[in-house]
Amino acid sequence: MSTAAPMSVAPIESPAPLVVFDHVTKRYGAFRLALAELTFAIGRSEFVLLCGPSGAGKSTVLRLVAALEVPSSGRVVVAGEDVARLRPRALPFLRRSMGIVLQDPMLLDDRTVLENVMLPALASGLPAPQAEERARAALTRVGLDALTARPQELSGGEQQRAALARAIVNRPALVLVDEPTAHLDAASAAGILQLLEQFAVAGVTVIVASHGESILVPARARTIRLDNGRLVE
Amino acid sequence: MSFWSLRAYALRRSLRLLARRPGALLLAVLLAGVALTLPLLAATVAVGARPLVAGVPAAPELSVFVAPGTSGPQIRGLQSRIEALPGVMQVRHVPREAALAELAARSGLGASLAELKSNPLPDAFIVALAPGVDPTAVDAAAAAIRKMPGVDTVQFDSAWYRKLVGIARIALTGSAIVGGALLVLAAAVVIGAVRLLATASGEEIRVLRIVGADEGFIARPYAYVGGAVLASATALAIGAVAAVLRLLNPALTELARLYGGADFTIPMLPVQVLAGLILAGLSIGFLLGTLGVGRPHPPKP
Repeated sequence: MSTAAPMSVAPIESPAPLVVFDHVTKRYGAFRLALAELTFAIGRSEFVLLCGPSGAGKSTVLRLVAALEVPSSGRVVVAGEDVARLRPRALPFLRRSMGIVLQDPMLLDDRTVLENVMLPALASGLPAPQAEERARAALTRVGLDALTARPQELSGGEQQRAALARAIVNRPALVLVDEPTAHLDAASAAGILQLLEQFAVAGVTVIVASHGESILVPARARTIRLDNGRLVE
Repeated sequence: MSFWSLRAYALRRSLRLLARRPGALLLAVLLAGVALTLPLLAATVAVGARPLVAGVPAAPELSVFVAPGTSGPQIRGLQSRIEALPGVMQVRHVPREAALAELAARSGLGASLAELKSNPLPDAFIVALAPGVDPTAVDAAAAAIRKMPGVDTVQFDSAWYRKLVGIARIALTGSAIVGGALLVLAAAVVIGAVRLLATASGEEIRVLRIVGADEGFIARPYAYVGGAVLASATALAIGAVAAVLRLLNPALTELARLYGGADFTIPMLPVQVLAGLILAGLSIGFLLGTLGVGRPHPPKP
């Protein structure tokens, strides 16, 4: 059940690279090539910025890491496990070990911010009081105090912060963030990036996908450039 | 702790889901309840009418008349041979004296029969075959008995039995088809209602999968809703059957009186059975609710 130890997912604290792309190709249908023979590795507590123009394949990389998609060929290895070979029952355990923020924050409108942030903790089997305690701590970490507000009452930046709080509530070792500053003003964008950098400093591996050239790249960030699904040296 | 906290969470979610679309769910309860009423009413009538039909021989019976002059040992031997035939359940010997006494008692001709110098009636056997036996097997048994020494006549209305068996088969098959179709309809209503809820909550289900919820966590609230809908529908069907019987029983009692019988009513099934039916509805609804949510399609390479 939900609280059992991960069945076939290796501990994410493994000393080996946390994420490995090994000649990964991803096609959508017969003609659309999203990624072509992509090979790279990301180590523990790295801050990686995936950048490139729209359609470069950044979001596809994140979705492959999160096992929301499987590669057409090649291997995506996360914490030592080939995600395409994981049994469906093992996928939730993999996803609990990472925090995922997609382009759309995907906050549920019929719940308060606090309830939204509690969700991953509850899904992991934590009792409600502990889940709430963790959610409050995560919201404090991202600097959001509108606990009882509904997501639609928040600004774009606040929604991103709430989504980030939800991503870190299970204390993941890997955080994936897609276009965190897409619809934010400069101050909010800087705040979000600063927050992500703090996660990396605290030992969390952070992979951020962004098409913005103006994004303030943290000093410790390693940049992986993509164009048309290929690495750009 | 986690076991209960997960279920407590699922229960709270299922109550929210019920509150989200009360109209659709009430309609589902009504539809499934109506679909369940007919099979439940048929079962209640079948069980309740059992005492009434207990006196009707369900098994075919052959009347075997022994040839005049057959001795007592020969009659006993004949009985043994008949009992040894395949499909024969019981052989009852009716001695000629007993037959005459019964005729005198039933016909009201006791005085006239008493004046007879000798008993004109033969010894007889009433041969009961297995209930529901195929008509051709009855014909075969009758033919075999006819060939036995000491047998004068074998009486059996083969045509009547064939019709009875045919009608019973049609009734049983028809009941099974109609009952089965109604049960499938009730199941489809529950699955449809839950699927409607799950579709309306598609965003929530997608979020839950992304944050690492397993399928049990995702499906459990919907399973509870399915259980609640089918259990409520079963309770509704029980209520409907009780109402029908309340209307039907006075007429049945009156009819039984007209035919000279004792008071006859069809009672409800025992409370334990009804409670068991509601529990079964809860469990089956739980499974149907789980089916209603569906499983994610694995991503294509």
